[in-house]
Amino acid sequence: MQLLSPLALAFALLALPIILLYMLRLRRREQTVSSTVLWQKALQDYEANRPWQRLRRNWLLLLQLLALLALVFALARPFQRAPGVTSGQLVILLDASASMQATDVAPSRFARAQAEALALIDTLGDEAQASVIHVADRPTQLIAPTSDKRALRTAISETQPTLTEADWTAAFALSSAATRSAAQATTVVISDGGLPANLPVPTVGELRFVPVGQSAANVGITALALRATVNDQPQLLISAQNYGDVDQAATLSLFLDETLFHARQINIPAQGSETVVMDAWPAATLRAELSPLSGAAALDDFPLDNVAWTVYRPPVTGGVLYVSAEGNLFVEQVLAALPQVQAFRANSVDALPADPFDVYIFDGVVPQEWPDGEVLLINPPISNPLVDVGISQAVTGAVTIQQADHPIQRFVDWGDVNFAAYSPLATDASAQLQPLVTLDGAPIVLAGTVGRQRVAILGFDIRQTDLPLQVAFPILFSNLIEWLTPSTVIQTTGDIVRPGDAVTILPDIAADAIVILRPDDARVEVPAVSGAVVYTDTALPGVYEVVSGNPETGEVVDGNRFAVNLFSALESDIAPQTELSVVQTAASAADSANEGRIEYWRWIAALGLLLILFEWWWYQRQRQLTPRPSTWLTRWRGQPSA
Amino acid sequence: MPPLFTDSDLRSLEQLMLVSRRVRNAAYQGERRSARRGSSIEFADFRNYVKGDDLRHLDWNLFARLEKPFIKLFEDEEDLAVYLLIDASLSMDWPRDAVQHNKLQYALRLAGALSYIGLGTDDRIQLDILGAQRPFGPVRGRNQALGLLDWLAEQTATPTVMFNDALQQFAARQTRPGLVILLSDFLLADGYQSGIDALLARGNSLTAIQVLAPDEIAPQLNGDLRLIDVETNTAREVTVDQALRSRYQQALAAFQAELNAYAQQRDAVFTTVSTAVPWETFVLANLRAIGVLK
Repeated sequence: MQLLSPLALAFALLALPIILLYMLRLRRREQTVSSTVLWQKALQDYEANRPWQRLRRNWLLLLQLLALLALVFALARPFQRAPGVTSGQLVILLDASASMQATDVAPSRFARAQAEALALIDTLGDEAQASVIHVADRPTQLIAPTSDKRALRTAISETQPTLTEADWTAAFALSSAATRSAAQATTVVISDGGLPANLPVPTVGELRFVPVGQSAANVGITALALRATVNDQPQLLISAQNYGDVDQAATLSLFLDETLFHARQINIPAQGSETVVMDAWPAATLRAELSPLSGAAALDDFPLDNVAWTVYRPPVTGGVLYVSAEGNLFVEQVLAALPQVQAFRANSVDALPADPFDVYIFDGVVPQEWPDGEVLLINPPISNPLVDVGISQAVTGAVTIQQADHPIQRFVDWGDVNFAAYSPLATDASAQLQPLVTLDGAPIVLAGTVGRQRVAILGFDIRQTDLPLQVAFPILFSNLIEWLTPSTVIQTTGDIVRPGDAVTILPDIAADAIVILRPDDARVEVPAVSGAVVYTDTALPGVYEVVSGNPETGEVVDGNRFAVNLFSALESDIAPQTELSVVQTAASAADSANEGRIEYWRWIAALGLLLILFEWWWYQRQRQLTPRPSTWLTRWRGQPSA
Repeated sequence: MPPLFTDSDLRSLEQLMLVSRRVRNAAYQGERRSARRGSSIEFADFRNYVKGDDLRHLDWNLFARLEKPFIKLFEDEEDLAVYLLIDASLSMDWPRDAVQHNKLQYALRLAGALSYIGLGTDDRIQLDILGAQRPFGPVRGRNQALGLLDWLAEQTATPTVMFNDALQQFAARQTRPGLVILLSDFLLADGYQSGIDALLARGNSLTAIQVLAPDEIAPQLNGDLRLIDVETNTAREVTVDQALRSRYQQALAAFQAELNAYAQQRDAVFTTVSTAVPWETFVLANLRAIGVLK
C-alpha cells in the first residue's frame, strides 16, 4: 500500500483540536450525593490519567476520530500496484460471433468472455478509460470511452452473442478510432479465434489477446439445397463436416413441414465431410437435423450448426409472349426494357409456342385456343370471346379516369394522351371486367379476373394514339405486366441467406403491405409503399415466410419463403486459438502482463461518511434517551433540553 | 411522620438487654448483678435524685433535713450508663426524598429501640444529637419511654456538625463512663479517630454502628457527572462507568475494614447496616449476633 498524497496525512492533526474541544467543552450533569469521600478514595488511582479518563468510553468522540482518520486517509489517496491493471485507454474487442455460443466452457464461451471483460473492468485504474466493441458482422461500440465502471459493467453484461461471422477488419478500424488520441492505449481481444491469419491491423497501441474456449469437437451441416432437375423432381443435397479430431456418427433427420420424413445414420470422418444426395424429393420446405445416435451423449459443443433449412424454388416457367401480325416496335421495346421480363414475339396465333408463358399479349388478334396464362388484349377484334367491341370511331370527347387507385393506373397520366380513333368496349355484364378508363363515355381500358385468369384489355390501337410518345407508356406497361404476374420476389445476394444478411423483397404490385412470419412465430408487418423492402433482421436461423396482401381485408395476394442458415465454416470450426496473428504485431495470452494501480480512496471516503452518519444517528439516539449535553457539537447541533 | 414503634415492636424489645464489654463504674442501683461483693441491704452511698428514680429508695430523712432528694445506694446491684450519640449531619439526612431508606430516620429508630431496651433494664439512658444542645436524659425506667419517643420525633438534621469536636466535647462533659452507642455514616472528610479516642479515653465501652443508604453501598450513577457533596457543598467531577463503580465499592469495603480494625484494636464494636434492612431484623438478629444485645 502506497500513498499518492502523503502530505495529506498532516490533516490528521485536526484530531488534536477535536480532542481539546471535547476536554474543554465537556459538560457534566450535576448530581447531589450524600458524600464525596468514597468517590475521592475511588478516584485516587485515576488522578494520573485524569485528562484521558474524561474521554474514556466516549463513543461519539471515537466515531468522530475514526471518521476523521478515514477522510484523511482517503485524501492521502492510498493505492496498490497490481498486475493486469490497465491505465490509459483500454478498448475491449468482445467477440460475439456464432462460435462464441459454443458450450465447451460453461455456460458458454460468450459468458466466459463477458466474465473476462468484467474482470478487466474491475482492475481498471482510476484514471483509465475503457470502451467495449461488440464484434459481429457489423461491429458496434457498446459504450464510448468512459471511466464509469458501472456503465461499463452494464454494457458488457447486457450484450448478447449473434449468429453471424465477425468482421474483425471493421472491429479493428473502430478500435483504432477509439485509441487514436490516447497517449497510452491497450487493445484487448477476447475471442476464441476465428480471426483471419495475418490480418492487417491499424495502430491500436498495445495488443493483448485473451483466448476463450477449450474444445474443437463439432460437426455441422455445411450445405443443404433442393435443386430442380430436368424431370421436375427436385434433388436433395446435404453436406456435413466434422471439425473435430475424432470420427463421428450421427443421425440425420429430414423433416417436411415439421413432420419426420426420412432419417438415416451418417458417419463423418475426423476433419472430413460427408455428402448425401437424394433424388425425387418432394418440392416442399425441408429441415435437416443432426443428432446423436440413440443413447449417445450430446453430439458436440456447438449445436447451432446441427440444423438447417431449405425452401424449394421452382424454376421460372416462361416470360411474356407478344403476338402481333404486324408487330409494334414501341411495345417490343418497352417489354425488352422492363426488368424481370423475358419477352418473346410471335407473328401468328396459329403457331403459338408449346412452352407456357406467364403473360400473353395479343395485339389485334385473339387465339383460337385460349392459352393457360394471363392475357392482355390490345385493340381486340370484334370476334373475341371476352368483350363486345364496337366499330372504330373518331374521338369527340375527353378521357375520363374511372378507377384512379387501381394498380394499373398508378402514376399513369392519361390527360396528355391523344387518340385518333378507338373501339368502344362494352361493359361486362357479369362485372368481371371493370372499366378503368372511358372515352366519350365508353370504356377503352378494362381489367379484371375471368375464371382464374387475369385479363386486361386496351380498346384502341396504340398506333392510332400518341401514347408511345408519352411518359405514361412505359409506366402503363410496367403496371400491366406487374399486375398480370402477381408474385412477391425475394432477392438475395447469393444462393444462401446467412444470419444478418439483407433480403430484398419486391412485393406484388397489388399488395398494400407485406407480413413477415419469423421462425420464432413473431409477425413483422412492413408497408409496401416504397416498392422494394430491405429486410435485415435475419439474425435467427430458420424459415421466414413472406406474405403480401391487404392487411385490412386479410386478402393474401401471394406468399413466398426463404431460409436462413448458419453455413459458415469459419464459425463452425470452433477450435480455439491460443495466439493471435496480425500483421502489425503478434499477441498471445502470455503477453498480457501489465501493471497499474488500484486506488482505494473512494471506499475509504465512503466509510468516513458512513461513520459520520452513524455518529449523528448515535448522538440523536443518546439525546432522546438521556437529554443532556455531551459534546462540543451540542452548540451548533442545537441545545438539547436539560 | 409515622410512629417510630408499634406495640408489637416494643414488646419484642422488652425481652432484650444491652451488653457492655468494658468495666463499668456503676454508681446507681440497677437490675444488673454486681461483680463486686456485698449485701443487698448494705448501704453504699447517696446520690442525687434523677428523674425516673424509684421513690422507694429516696432517703426521706435527708430530704427533710436538706430539702434535696437523695437516693440511697446499695452495693449488690448496679445500673449501666448508656449514651446514644446520633450523627444528624446533612449526609445522614439521605436520601432526602425517600423516607423509607432515610439514614437519619433509621438511626433515630435504632436509637429509640436501644434506648427502650435500656429503659427496660433500668439502665441510665442519655441520647445526644452530635452538635446539638438539648440531650435527652439521663433517664431511667420504662415510664420514660413516651418522653423518649417524643424527643426522637422532634429531631431533624443539623446543618453543621464537627464530628470529632462534638465527641470530644461530649467526653469532656461526661461525668460517668458507660456504654456509648455511636450511630453515624462515618463518611467524614476530617476522619473520626480523635473523637472516638476521646470517648475511649473516658473509659467508655463503644459500639459504633455505620448506617448507609442502598445507593451509597451500590451507586447507580453513570456518565459524566459533577458530584455535589450535600454536606460540604464541594464538587467533584467524575466520569462514572462500571470500572469506577467497582472501584467505589472496593473503596467502601476497604473503609469498613479499616473502621472494623480500628474498633477491634480498642476493644470496641463496629458494625454496619443498610437502611434497606428492616430495623427489627437488625436489632433482633444482627446486634444479638455480635453481642451488643442479649
